[in-house]
Amino acid sequence: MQRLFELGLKPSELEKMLIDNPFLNKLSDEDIKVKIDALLDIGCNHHHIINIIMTNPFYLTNVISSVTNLINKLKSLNINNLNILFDSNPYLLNAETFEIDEFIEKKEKLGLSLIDIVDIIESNPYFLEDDI
Amino acid sequence: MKQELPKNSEKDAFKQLNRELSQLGYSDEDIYKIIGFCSEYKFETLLKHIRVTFNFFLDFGFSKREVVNLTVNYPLIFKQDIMTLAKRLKRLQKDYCIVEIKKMLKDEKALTCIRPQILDARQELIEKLGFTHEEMLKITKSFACVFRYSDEVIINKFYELLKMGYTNKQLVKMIVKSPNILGFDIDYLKSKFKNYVDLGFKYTQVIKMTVMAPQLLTLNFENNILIKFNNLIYLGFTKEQVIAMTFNYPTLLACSIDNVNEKILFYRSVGLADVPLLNSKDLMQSVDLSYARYHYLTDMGKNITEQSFTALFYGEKEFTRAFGISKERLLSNYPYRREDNAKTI
Repeated sequence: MQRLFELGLKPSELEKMLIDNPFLNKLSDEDIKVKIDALLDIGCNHHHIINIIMTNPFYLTNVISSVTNLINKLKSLNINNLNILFDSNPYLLNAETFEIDEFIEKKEKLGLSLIDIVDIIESNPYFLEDDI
Repeated sequence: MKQELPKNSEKDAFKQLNRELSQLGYSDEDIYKIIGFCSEYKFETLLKHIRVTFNFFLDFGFSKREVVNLTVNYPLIFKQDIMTLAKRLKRLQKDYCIVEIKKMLKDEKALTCIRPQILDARQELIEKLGFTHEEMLKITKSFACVFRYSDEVIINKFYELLKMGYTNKQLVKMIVKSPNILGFDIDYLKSKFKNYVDLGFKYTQVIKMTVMAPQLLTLNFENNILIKFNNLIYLGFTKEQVIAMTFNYPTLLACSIDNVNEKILFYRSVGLADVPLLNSKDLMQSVDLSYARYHYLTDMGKNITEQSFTALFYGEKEFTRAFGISKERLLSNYPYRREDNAKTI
């Protein structure tokens, strides 16, 4: 938890995050570090990181391989500025690559080109939420 | 858990146990905890079990630190037969990678006690409820506690949620997005619904909102959601406006207060105070991007007012085509400086 205090989180904020996600308690500083490093690697600044973990306290307990697979998937679609995408919708970090694939497949069936679908993903960070 | 120190005959064995465990990275407190949980074993026998189990996990791909954490969290693992343990972990390996297994064991310490047949049955049951294989894997690795639940508990929870007004498709979508919904007591979830209705939302609105943003059901209401709702009131919106804004963009109540305030105050600082009211979904856009677009357009001589602000929220392709600048260049040419915004506020 030390790593979270170093980021500037107050004990009261951390307490609230723990109420929402008690599994945070089981994380080691190393677990937290790899999740923060993943955000730093895509260009997130301090404010983005704070926003992401405070909005989505479940991000820190995600499996790191799922996070890196998701990031690689989005990068492979030529989606840049992932920091902005995740800052806009921190919950997108809980998605798995198969959810992105399913979204693309669904839109392709509707006749959209991959370029158009990528534009939807970049322009609407809530594309998965809106897709009901 | 303080234990009495051993009698003379076992003193040497205790010393040996203590020395080896300390070398592996266990604290004195950890050692007493392990001894307490495995008190039926003699020290010598216990040490043999610990050596075998410890090495087993090292071979499996755990680091020393991870084995220490796992076993301190669940010392009963030292009582498990190593062949049984191997079979159970092998079964997990069939569907989950090592990183996932480590996370699952951290979240559900008794996972190694679940027989492969039970694991198969739980997975099958989840798929029968309407989830694809991939969705089932996401649910079980995100919320491994589900393996501990009986079939009856899982089925009842699912049908109780259906009775609350969700369709099967909506429920599947919600649980895939927030698997921990399965961990909540149904009465607790119903009380969450009542909280929203008491705030002024219609029941049907709550259904729609929670399908789009299931975290509204799992985040704490009093310590989180309500504070965020009241923050919007504090910013000057009426209760009816907040309800309308949230219905249009349900995640608004899950966003951090600082983030929401930053956006609202930015729009106010540039004379676009009504943006959140006209389309609260515009609030999802990162303030970095709104700031860059706003300043780029005003530098181009465009007058951005409440009557002509839609360009700020164009899709990526549309903005580039209309104004000839990519998102990368925009963000690099107009980096958002939070201190500037703070000054203007």
